[in-house]
Amino acid sequence: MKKKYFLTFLLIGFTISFQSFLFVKYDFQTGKKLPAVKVKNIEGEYVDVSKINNGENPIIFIFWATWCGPCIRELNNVAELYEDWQQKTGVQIYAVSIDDSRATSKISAFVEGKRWPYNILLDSNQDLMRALGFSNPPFTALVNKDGEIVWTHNSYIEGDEYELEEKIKEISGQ
Amino acid sequence: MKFFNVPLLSLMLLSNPATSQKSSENFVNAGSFTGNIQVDFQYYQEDSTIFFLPQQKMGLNSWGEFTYRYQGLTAGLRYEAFQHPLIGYSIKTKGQGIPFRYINYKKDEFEITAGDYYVQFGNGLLLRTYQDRGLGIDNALDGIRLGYTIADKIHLTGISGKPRHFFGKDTSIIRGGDAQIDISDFINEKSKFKWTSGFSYVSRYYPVGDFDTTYPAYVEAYSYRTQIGYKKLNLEGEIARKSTDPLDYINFRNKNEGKVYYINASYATKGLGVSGQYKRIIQFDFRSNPTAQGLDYFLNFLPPIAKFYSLKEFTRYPFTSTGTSEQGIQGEITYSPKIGKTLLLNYSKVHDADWKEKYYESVYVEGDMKISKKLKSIVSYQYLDYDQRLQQKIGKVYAHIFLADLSYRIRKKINLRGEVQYLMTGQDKGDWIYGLLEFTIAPHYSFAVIDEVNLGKNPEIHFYTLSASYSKGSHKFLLTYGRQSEGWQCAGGVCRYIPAYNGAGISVLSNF
Repeated sequence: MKKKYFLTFLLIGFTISFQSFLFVKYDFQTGKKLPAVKVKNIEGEYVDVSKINNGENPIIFIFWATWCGPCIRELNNVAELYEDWQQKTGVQIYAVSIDDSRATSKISAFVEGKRWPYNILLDSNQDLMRALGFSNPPFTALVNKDGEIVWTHNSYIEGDEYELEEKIKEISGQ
Repeated sequence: MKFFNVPLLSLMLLSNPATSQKSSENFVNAGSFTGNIQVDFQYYQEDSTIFFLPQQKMGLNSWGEFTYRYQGLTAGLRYEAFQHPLIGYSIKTKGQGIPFRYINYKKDEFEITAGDYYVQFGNGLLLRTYQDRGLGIDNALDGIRLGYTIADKIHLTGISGKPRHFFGKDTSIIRGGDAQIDISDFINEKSKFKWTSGFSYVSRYYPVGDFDTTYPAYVEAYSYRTQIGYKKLNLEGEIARKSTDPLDYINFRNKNEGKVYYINASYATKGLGVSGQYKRIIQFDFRSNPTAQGLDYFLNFLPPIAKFYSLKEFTRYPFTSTGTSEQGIQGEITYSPKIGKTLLLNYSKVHDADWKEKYYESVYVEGDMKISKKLKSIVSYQYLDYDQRLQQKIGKVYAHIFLADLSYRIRKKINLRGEVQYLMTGQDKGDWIYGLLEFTIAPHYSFAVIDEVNLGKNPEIHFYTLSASYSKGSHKFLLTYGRQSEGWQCAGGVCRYIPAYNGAGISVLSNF
């Protein structure tokens, strides 16, 4: 008798758990957070990417390399619009160099020499690049206030910065 | 089974919280699922003018990568298929399977990876494993990696694993450790004075026979690095040593110890950046297998002391580190009176370790100008003096290389760009000219026409290419058709040779 009671309860238990499994909605999309990958800042210190935040405002990551022509075009063109974007949306841009390790101090000289107004990060073994799943720069990722990647774009052609502008305004509710 | 009580069961089902509440309240974070697909396909056609007789009708390289993340847990795998590798990739890449799979767990200061992973210690002088699809490089380690961070200031890494070798594994075992300490943060985190230091150790075990004295069973290498930054100044250095490591084809079984000295200094202020580097390398080509040839089995990365280029004529004679005996200097100045208007100067020179023989010397000047709101130009010039005998290539080359690039913004998102490259040399195949015309409509469409002629040897053969691409968000499709001249595909100073060929190509690149 006891055994039968036990089996019945077990069966009921299973049915309920299986049902919960079926009817609860599993949401993959909102989980697309910035990965917890370490990159270096210009001073050579480690920075955990998942901990980067900009309060209530969006963040943009632009991946580039000193030898990548389209990347330099993109960063030049975005630099001219950046001040305007910042005033309107409070956006912060991180230019992430995937150049190899040869060049921590060479990159700071290059970026300053170009008058680029960005925060610079160094992904010298391309760990962040792999975590985001692209294999060639330029790559642009737009991140909302909750640290979720909401839009990405691989490659750059002249004028793409205006599409990025529209996307930033969209998520900032303008 | 009389107790199989239907009414009771229905009651239980109805009272199940999962069905009784509104579905919108039932979201459970199931983690994230991301990945990417890349497919490169080429269809070849015979072309007797360039002596191209394809041994295979088509080539296909494809990758599919899938990553799942749930809180501290990350698991991923990559499927690869190169049943007929594209022209220019080694035939050894042939195969298919899942050469890359791992599980990674992170919690607070602790991290563990089991399976395949990429890792770099310091500047990569001792160890750098990475993947570059364009170059056909992947030397991921298969094993265990541990990471631990103390007080956010000391970063420790320990590894053990076997390197990937195409679709198999190498016989050697690589073990090592790295520690980086953010010294200045112990004194004052807010200070403008920044000081970090690091130590690395790597050992390679290679199984040798009992009486075999050709190669040592163990090769050990260690290094010390430091970086000091104060306001606009930055100073960085690394020294490394390696025990006797005779390699078959690279240093003719030289039994000397390996040494590297590397110094990098820079000054950066708004609108002006100056940097200088010095490097000396003796017997520091580090491979997981002493029988290695070419780019096979490499474990470390010796940063080349020359500027990297990616344009066709500027990479016709690309510089590569010899790894055996080399000493070099490099200086670079970047100056911009305003954004978009830049003057860049680069000088680099590489000799043997005793500064007796010159291998490479290059002077590079580049000017970026914004002529009007719509019109932009880039002009550059390089003087090159390169002794390629060391790479067993064509001997000494002196070249002058020019670039003129004009870009005209017709409307906000419509652009027309033209580019001319000219390579002038009395050696090898003589002069080359390259022209490109590109019309783009952002954010989706791009069309380009390319023509290239070797004026020195075959002025009647045109290497023409037509290409069109469509991109939307993180998806990209590319079509190409035409005849390609031989050349090098370079990314970050590492290059892959691609012989001349003729055909059509389709590439699909997608992130999800």
